[in-house]
Amino acid sequence: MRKLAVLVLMVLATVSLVGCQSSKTDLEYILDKETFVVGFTDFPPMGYTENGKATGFDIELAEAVMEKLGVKLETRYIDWDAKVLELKSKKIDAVWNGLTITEERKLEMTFSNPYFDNNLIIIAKTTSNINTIADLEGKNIGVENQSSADIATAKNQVIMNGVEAVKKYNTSAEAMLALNAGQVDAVIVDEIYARYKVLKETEGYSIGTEIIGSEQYGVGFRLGDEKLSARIDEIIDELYEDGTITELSIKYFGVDLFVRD
Amino acid sequence: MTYFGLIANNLLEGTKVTLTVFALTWVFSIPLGLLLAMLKNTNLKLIGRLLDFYTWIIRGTPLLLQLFFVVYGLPILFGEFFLMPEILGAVITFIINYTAYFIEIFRGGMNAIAKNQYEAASVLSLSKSQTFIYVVLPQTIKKTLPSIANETITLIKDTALVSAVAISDLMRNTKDTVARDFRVEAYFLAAIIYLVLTYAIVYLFKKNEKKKAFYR
Repeated sequence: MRKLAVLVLMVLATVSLVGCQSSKTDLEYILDKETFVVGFTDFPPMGYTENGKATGFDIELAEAVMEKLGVKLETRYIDWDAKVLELKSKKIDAVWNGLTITEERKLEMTFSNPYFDNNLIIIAKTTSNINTIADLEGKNIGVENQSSADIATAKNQVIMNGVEAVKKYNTSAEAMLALNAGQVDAVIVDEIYARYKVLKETEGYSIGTEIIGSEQYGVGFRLGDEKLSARIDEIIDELYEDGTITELSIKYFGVDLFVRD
Repeated sequence: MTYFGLIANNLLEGTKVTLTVFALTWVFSIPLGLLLAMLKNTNLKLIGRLLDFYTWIIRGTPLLLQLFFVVYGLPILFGEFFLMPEILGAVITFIINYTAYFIEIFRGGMNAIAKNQYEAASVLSLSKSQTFIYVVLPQTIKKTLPSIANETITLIKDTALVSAVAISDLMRNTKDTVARDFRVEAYFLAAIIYLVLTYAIVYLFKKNEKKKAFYR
């Protein structure tokens, strides 16, 4: 009987706690806990780990934004497949790591305004002469699992009918490793990753002439976190106007790739 | 329930791959382990040293690392000759890995047989191979059965590692399903499938242990 009473009490306590939380807005929730947790994965140069520390364009941008918002930025390395679960379980407050805005994802997340333009391209060993979608016929191609490259490739009937197999990797870096090893003949990946990570640091790869698709990056918040999303967009606008972001873009990409409406 | 029906197909496809890796590994690594354990117990010093080195490397490094090394490391280091389909690379890695553990299990079982049994065998003028087949082998199998059952269960669960090298096994298909549908039911279904597989193993080994109980 006492056990039952304790149980009832615990349930009541939980219910009332949850009740308290729901009366706060999403923005107040962040301001109250004074930290903002960004989920990222290994996706240079947007977000990646260097010497055990999270860094990259998106991370530095998030740092600047959080400084203005007056809360501490925390980073959390996540499994990209589990990004929505991470958001739902409140382990992270936003996915901010070259996240492509798609209609499907809009059903599961609230997006900031788009802040970056990016294309999906084919990258292959220069010697293999793979340049166009037609060149992919009978070849093995690699993509990062559940990435926008994966989704766009799965939708492209010409690619799907022509290729031998589409192999899926945990990260773009692993897909590139498989390309190096010869397990795949080409990798479909974001242009930003290909241009500023692979072409800058290695030799023997080239980007195809045909583009698979075009996309825009946004910050993904928990579904319904409209107030938080709007506040962060405001701050990003301010940072863009005062030149902070342009400076950051030039540091990482040599040019200003940032987009604002 | 209907959602379970929808995802079951995808998960069962993955289960086939999981079982393939499991069955091939088991079928090859047990005889190999037994054979190498016999070799290790002979007086050939060089072979003993080599096998010690082999078990040291294999048991001392993570299976996941070995998997990456075989699938990506070997072709990058030594060229196309070592390039093979991921599933083949995975099975080879698993056989090499599990053989190392089975060697040690069988060797332990063989060493536990009392010296006077060998003496008795020689008094009965059994040849070396007769001694092995009729005296050593049955007792070794009986003694090591619980450890082998343990390793076999571990093997079923270790197969989940192959999902890391782009193989669509049960684990990979489960993760994909969760990521695609944003629903976590697939985790439960996968857990049930793994439990059924491991339970089948426990059941088979239990039955076998009873059959072998007459030695005691």
